[in-house]
This record gives sequence, C-alpha cells and structure tokens, in this order.
Amino acid sequence: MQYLLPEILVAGSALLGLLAMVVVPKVRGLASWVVLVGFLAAGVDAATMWNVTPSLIVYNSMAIDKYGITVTELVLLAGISTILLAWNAEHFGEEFPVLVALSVLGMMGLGGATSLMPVFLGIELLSLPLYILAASRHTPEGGEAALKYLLLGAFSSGILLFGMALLYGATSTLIFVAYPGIASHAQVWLLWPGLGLVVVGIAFKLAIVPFHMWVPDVYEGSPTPVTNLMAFGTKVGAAIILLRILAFGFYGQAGAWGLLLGYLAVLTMIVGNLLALPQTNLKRLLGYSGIGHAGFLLVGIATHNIQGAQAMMFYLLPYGLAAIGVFAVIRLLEQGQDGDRGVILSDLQGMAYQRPWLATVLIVGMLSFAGIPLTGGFVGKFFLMQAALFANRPGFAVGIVVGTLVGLAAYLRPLQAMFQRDGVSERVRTMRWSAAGVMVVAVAVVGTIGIGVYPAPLVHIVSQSANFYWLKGG
Amino acid sequence: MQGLTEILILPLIGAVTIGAFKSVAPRRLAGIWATVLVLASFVFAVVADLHLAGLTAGHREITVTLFNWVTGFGPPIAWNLYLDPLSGIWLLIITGVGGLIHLYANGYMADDPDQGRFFGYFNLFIFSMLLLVLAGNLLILLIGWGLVGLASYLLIGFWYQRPSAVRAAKKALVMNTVGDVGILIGLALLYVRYHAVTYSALFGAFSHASPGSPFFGWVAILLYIGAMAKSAQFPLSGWLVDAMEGPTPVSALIHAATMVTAGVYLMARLYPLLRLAPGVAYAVAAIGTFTAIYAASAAFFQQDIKKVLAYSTLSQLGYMFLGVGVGAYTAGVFHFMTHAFFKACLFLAAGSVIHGLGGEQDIGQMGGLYKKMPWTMVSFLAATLAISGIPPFAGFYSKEAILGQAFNSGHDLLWMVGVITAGMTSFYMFRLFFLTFFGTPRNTDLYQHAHEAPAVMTVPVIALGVLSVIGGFFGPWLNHWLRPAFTAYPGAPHAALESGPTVGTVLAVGLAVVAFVVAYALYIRRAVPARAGIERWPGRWMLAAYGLDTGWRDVAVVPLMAAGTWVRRQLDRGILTAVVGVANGIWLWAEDLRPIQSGYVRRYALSIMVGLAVVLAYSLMKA
Repeated sequence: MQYLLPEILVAGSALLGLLAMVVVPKVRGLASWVVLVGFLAAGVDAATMWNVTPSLIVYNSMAIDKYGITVTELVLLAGISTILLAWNAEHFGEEFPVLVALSVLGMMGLGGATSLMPVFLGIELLSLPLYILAASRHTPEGGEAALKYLLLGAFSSGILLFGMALLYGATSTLIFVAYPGIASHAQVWLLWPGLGLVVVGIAFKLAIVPFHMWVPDVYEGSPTPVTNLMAFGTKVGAAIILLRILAFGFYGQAGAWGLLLGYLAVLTMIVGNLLALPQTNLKRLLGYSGIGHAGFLLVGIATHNIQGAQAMMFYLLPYGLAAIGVFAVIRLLEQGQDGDRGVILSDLQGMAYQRPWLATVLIVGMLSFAGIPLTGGFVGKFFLMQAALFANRPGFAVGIVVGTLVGLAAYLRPLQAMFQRDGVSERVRTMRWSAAGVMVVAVAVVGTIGIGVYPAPLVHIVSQSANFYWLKGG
Repeated sequence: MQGLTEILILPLIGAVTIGAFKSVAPRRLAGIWATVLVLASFVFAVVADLHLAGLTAGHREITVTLFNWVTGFGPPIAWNLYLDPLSGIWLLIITGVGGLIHLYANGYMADDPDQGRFFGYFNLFIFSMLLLVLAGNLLILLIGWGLVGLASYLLIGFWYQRPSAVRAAKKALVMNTVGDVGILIGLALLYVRYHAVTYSALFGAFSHASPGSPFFGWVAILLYIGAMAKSAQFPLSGWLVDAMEGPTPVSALIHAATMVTAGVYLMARLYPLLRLAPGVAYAVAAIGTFTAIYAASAAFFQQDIKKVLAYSTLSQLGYMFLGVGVGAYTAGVFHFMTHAFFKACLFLAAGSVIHGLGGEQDIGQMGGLYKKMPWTMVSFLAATLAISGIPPFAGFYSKEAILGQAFNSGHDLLWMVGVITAGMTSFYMFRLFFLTFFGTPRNTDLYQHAHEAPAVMTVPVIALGVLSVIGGFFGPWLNHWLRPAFTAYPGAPHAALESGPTVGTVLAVGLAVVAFVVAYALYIRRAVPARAGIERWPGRWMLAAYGLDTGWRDVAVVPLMAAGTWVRRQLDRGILTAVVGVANGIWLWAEDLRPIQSGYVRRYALSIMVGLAVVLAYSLMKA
C-alpha cells in the first residue's frame, strides 16, 4: 500500500484543501498552498520509489514501475505549473486548486493502470474536474467551452465504455496486461471492434484528427492555466495509456492497429499544423499545435518498436516544457490590461523590444515546438524520426517532415508579430511579472534548452521507463 | 582524474570571471588573474605529465570520460579527455609559453582601456587550445578547433575600431571555416564507417586495415584540409599575415606558438591514418616544403617587422609538415617545440620594439636600437640564431632532424628545397635583425624617445631567449618521451629522431653562414635601406607574396560574388515566386478548412462518428 503514497498525498491534499476553505475561510489562497505542497511531496515520494522492483498491486489492476513513476512526475509538473499560473487568481474560484488536484490524480492513475477499470476511472477523474475548470471564468465563452467539452466528453466516454465492454466480452477479463496470452484465440468479432472503440475513446482525449474538433474552442474558452493542464497533462495521460494498452496488451496484433494509427498520425500531424497556420488567437493556435503534436506522439506508438515507445515518452517532456512556457507568457500578458480576454497576434507587437525576457521565453518555446536544433523539440522529433525509420516506415518519417515544415510557418508567425517595430501594444506595455510566473518560465526555458543541448540524462530515464515488458514475466 | 579537468577548467574560469566582472574589477586585475590561472594550469600540466611518466611505457595514456554527451543516436559520444606523451608536450607549451606571454601582455596592454576584454579572450583561447589537444575523440577536438578559431577571430579583431583589423579577422574566420568543414566531413565519414569517433577505437580499426583504399585517401585529405587551414599551408596561407593586425602578444601566442601548430598536432595524432594514405602523406610533405620556400622568399622584402615574422612562421610551419609528411614525427614535434620558444621570443621582442617606439612597425623607421634596448636585442639575437639554424642554438637541432630524415627517407627534392630554405631563412632574419637594431637610426625622433621595455615584459623575453639557446638539447629526452606515443599503433616506423648525412648539415649551416655574411655586407657595410629592391620586378612580386591575395580574389571571391548575385536575382524572380506560390496555396487551403470548424457541437460529434466508422471498418477488415 505504501506504493500508492503519491496518489494518496495528492488525494489528501485535495481533501485538505476543501477542508481549509471551510475551516479558515479568511486565509485566501490557502488551498493553493496545500495542493502545491501535496504535489511537491508526491513528486519527491514518487522519485524515491525509482529503484523499487516492479510489481502488480490491487488485484493486478495497477502496476508500480518506472513507467508509472515517470508519468507521475510529468503530470505533477503539469499540475504544479497550472497552480502557479493561477496563483492569486481569486476570480477562478477557491475550489480551483482542489479540482486541479483531482484531475492530476486521474492522470496519475492512468500511468499505473494495467486494467481497463482504472483506465476508465482515470479518464473520468481527469475529465470531470476539467469540465468544471473550463467554466471557472464565469464568462459566456467559458460556459460554452465547458458545455461543448462536457457533451463531447460524455459522447466519447460512451464509446470508450462500449469498447471496454466488448473487450471484456471477448476476453472475459478487464486486466489488459493479460491479453497477450488470450487475444490470439479470442472472439475476433468482439475483440477488434472493442479495440477500435477504445482507441477512438482515447484518441478523443489525445485530440487525434478527426476526433479533435473540440480542442480549439475549449482551449480558447478555458482560462489559460486550465488550457495548460489540458495541453500538457491530458495529453500525457492519454498518450501513455494508449501506448501501454496497444504496445503491451495487443503486442502480437500490431498488424491490426499499427498502420491504422500511422494513417491517423500522419493525418493529424498535417491537418493540425496546417490549421494552426491561419490562427490569430494565440490559444487557438496552441490548440492546433497540440493537435499536431498529438500526431507526433502517435507516430511513436504506431511504429510499435522500443525506439518508438522511448521516443514518444521522450517527446512528452520537451513538448510539455515548451507548452507551459508559452502558456506562462500568455498568462503574464493577461495580467496586464484587458485581463483574461484572449491574446491575439497583434497583442504581441513590439514585445521583442519592450519585453526582451518575455520575448525570449516565447522564442524558445516556439522554436522547440517547431523542432529547431538546440531545443528539446528537435531532439524529440529526431528520435521519433529515427524510430519510424527503424520500424521501416518511411511514410511516417515523411509525415513528420511535412508536419514540421508546415508547423514551422505557423510558429514563426507569433515571432514575426513580436518583432514588429511600429509601436508597442497596450498589453505588452501593461503586463506585470509575477514570482510564480517567473518560476514557470525559468523552468520551461532552462529545461527546453537543457534537453536540447544535453539530452543524455532524459534519454537514460526514458530508456529505463519505456521498458515495461517486465509485465510479461509477472 | 589526474588533474586533466583542472588543467582545462582553470582558464575557463578565468574567461568567465573576467568576462563577468571586467566592468567592476580594477583594470589591472584582469591581467594578473588571467596570468595566475594559466600558470596554475601549467603546474597541473607538469603534475599530469609526471604522473604519465610514472606509468609503464606500454600504457602511457590517461583517459577520462567526463560525461556521456550524445546518447540514443546510435553509439554514444562522450566528453573524453585523453593525455598521452604527444598531447603532454602540447600541454606544457600551451600553458608554459602561454603563461609567459600572458605575463608579457600585462605590460604590453597596460595602457589599453579595454584590457579586461583582452584577457578574457586570451584565457578563452588557452581553454580552447587545451580542449583541442586534450580531446579524446574527434568531435571534442572539432569543438576545440572551432573555439580556437573563434578566439583567434575575436583577438585579431580586438581593435575593432580599425577597419583593417576587422577585415583581417573576417578573412581568418572564413579561411578557417573551410578547414572546419573539411574536418567535419572527414569525421562524419569515419563515424559512418566505424560507428566511433574516439582515437582508440579508430586507431585500433586502422591498425587492421591495409593501405590504398580510396576511403582512407578521402578521409585523410579532408582532415588535412582542416590542418592546412589552421596551420596556414599554401594556398590557405594569406590569413596568417593579415592576422598581424591583432595585438603582438596575440601574434606570439596564437599565430606563432600554439594555434597554428594545431594542424601539425592533428597530422601527428593521425599517423595511423597517414599510413593508410601514403599519397596524402607525400602531399603533406610536398605542400609543407613548398610553403616553406614560398614564405621564406616572400619574407625577403617585407617592410613591417611583424610581417617578416609572420612569413617566417609560415615557412617554419612548412618544415614541421615536411617532418610529419615524411614520417619523422618526433622531429616535427621537436621543431614545434623549439619554434614555440624562438618564435614567441622573436614576436615578444618585436612587441617590445613596437612598444618602445610608440607603435611604429615599419623597419624603415628603426635602426641602432641596440643601445636603447640591450636586453631585447640580445634575446632577439639568440632567437634569430636559433631560427637560422646556427649550432648550437635550438633551431639547428630540430631543423637538422627534419632535413636529415627527409634525406634518409629518399625525398631528395624536398630535402634540397629545405636546405635552400634554411639559407634563405638566415638571410631575411639577419636582414630584419640588422635593420632593427644596428646601423644609424633612420628616424631620429623615434630613436630619441625609444626606451627598454619594463621588467614584466623583458623577463618573459629573456626567458624565451634562454630557451631558444638551450632548447635543442631537449632532443634526446623528447625522443625518449615520445616513443610510446608513436609505437602504440603501426604507422610510424621512423618516428624517432635520426641523424642525417654530414654533407647535409655542412651544406645547411654553410648556406646559413653565407646568408648571414651577405646580409651583413648589404645592410651593415653598405647600409642598404630597407625599401631597396621593392620597386622592381622580383622584389615587388615577393613583397606581395606573388599575388596570392589577388589570386584568391580572382579565383574565389569575385566568381562567388558574381554567382551569389546571379542566384539572388534568379531566386527573386523564379524560384522564390514558386515557393511563395506554394505557401499561398497552403494558406488558402488552410483558410478554406477553417469553416469546417463551425462551432456546432453536432458537427463535431458527426466528425467523431465518421472517424469511428472508418476505424471500425478498418478493424473489421483486418479481422
């Protein structure tokens, strides 16, 4: 049971935060502190479990292994950055940090899940707080975003649940790590539709084309810290559970899903980056960018080799770091005039000259998204490309190249706006730095450049954690 | 770690701290701090070499892996440091001679308001050069290689207010980049074939290969192009003369004693590769010899004290390449060592003269300075005797070793040219010496104000002068020291020092003495002015180094500029228009796709349903 301590700490901090609101309502921001401390404690505790012998717990429904620990650290990073970006933002409501903690708890559950039950619980636990969080600004756009997200989320949950039922019918177990032995002689008329439905259900969360349409509206309508959590945390949770189900549970049947995922990946990379091109709202642009990056992540799963799994896990961190950096810039701009109104490209005018440090953060983040050398994004794309070529799938590699090229144009547009000389926008002039924001951008910039220049430590971690085939023996 | 990291890190600390605090710290502190750090690094280098000497002869090498740098891209590449007798010698010269030059620069740069920047760059250079020689694999070597080029660029252009300095810095950088690209491609070829870049792995593989394959020829040529650019071998030699625009300590340290010998180091390091590419080895020797005589003749009529020394550096580098090319590796390294002593001494003494004359560099304005600067004159004389190959001064032994082995190995033509060049060297060096220090003062005004340099400058000059006298006696010791380095892999059967034929020694020394007498007769007895001979044909040509610069301009600069202009015009019209057209097309398409994103939830759900149908159909088809 001590292996579930990180989860318990996060859940406990959520409850304690609720309690604090009731018991000492006078102290503002106490819940944020409680949750932040809970996140940090969970992160430290998870790190100490790094060398624990991998094992299955809770009736083989959860795994304790390096894969789960890495996921825990990633989603905690997403959670901490979200809390910091919403620091002192009282108009989001006092329950904001508590809901973030619950959502992060769901993502953590996905990291360790080895049965369809925790998969479903995890996905619902991460989604339900997000439906509420999306509306926490109490504006018409926020309400619309939340409602859309809720309706389509419910729709996709239905698909996911139906798929799980079919899989259960085919194999008579929910523990998907046991499937490799069963799947080959299971009832194919239940098995394949079941798998297809599950993939679609998760692909909705991951924002794969054509299940992506909710993303730009919801990203735009939600408060920026919430968008940050959706872009980083949700993506981590969905991508890694898809990898564990497919690459392990359906290891021997890669012929049935590998190429399909590849088609979806190429489609997603190209459409996502292409639609990012004409966007003028920065958060919408990031929404499409997130779709494009989901395509890159999907390549790592579709290659179905160990390099692909490692590359996908590797890519999560540079993507996440760049995302929190850029969202932090948006958040800092929102702290000036006009408040939470969406940041559009013309709001960036003159930033490179008036606010060189803020501009640097945006440059680093955008170049990492675009995959320019010396940033983590480049190294990640390189690994994905390598995995595609090792898997003898040159088509995937071509898709990566085309997606990257189109994406480059999209990511350079904000930078172009930023370097425009004629005048400085009101937003840039009136933006204010906050200590929490500075912390987030510092981590984002240092991490992005650090991974780009010296990727060896992360490669080491990823190569250990993407190896979850110990499950075969257990 | 045997102190390798410390050797490397001390100058880096200097560069960083000076760079960070140069605007707040006292002005003079930067020089003292930089000097102390380089001397400390020298102490660590001595300790490391002593440790190396304590190892058994068969395993005389120290490898340190700082950390894995590139992993996951195939075989990992690490930050390897590697110390063996060969790099040990370079370490001592870089930090030892470098330390003396740092000390000297404290006096030379004393009046410069920007000396913090100078010493920051200077320490950066020392760090880069140490990285270059301590590198355990070709990639780290290339990083050092690039960084010394950067430091050289920054220091040549140190007085950036002068357009000529900026131009010279740019020229050096461009020519060196040619070499860097050569090394990069050669390195890539080796990596693709052997999946490794460390010396030990590559040389181990070379040991089992047999010569003659074109692969080795190409790799060796590409790496040689790198060496050629850095060591200013003909025809990539023009930048070194222009590099004299930098402050004189820079010329002494970078463009005489250390950086320009990096090419010699690389070729000596790669002796197992040269075994596999005998044609390239011959080219190394032949181009080296040609550079030697070409530069010696170009030095005959130079009017600038530093330019004479620059051409003589080119010429001496040619000797080193001759040694390496004919397989006389120890002799080449030996000449590198003695050259570092006497050429640094010459440059520093010339710097003292320039300093004493308030910045005058034209030898036509000098003369009779021996009375005013006795210490400088004596050191300069010792170094001149050394470079001219007069026994028993340092240069005699190393030059004899190279020429003797060129003869022994049957390179008669190269040997002959080398002997003639020795005589020419003696002539132009004594011409310089006599014109500077003897005869009647040609500019009485300058002469009146001339003064001996302060002690902080004369002490390093004298120390180097002493080394120029005794440096030749290190030969047997060096021979013994370097033996393990050149016996570790096959490819250097004649690496040890050999003595040449007596007739060769007599001929070379005889020519040098005759040249001395001629120089004496011309410039002391008949008091020929410095500018004599440069009006007419041979002199004018030789002064312009046979029009090498014009040649480069006509062959490379002008056509490339024309091609660039042409391409830009064509691009602007044709290709760019096409690219813009495609971009616009994508744009329109993306704009067109936008209406699909209507905002209606039912449409979004429909999209999901369509996707689901496709996925299900695909799954069922596969099933």
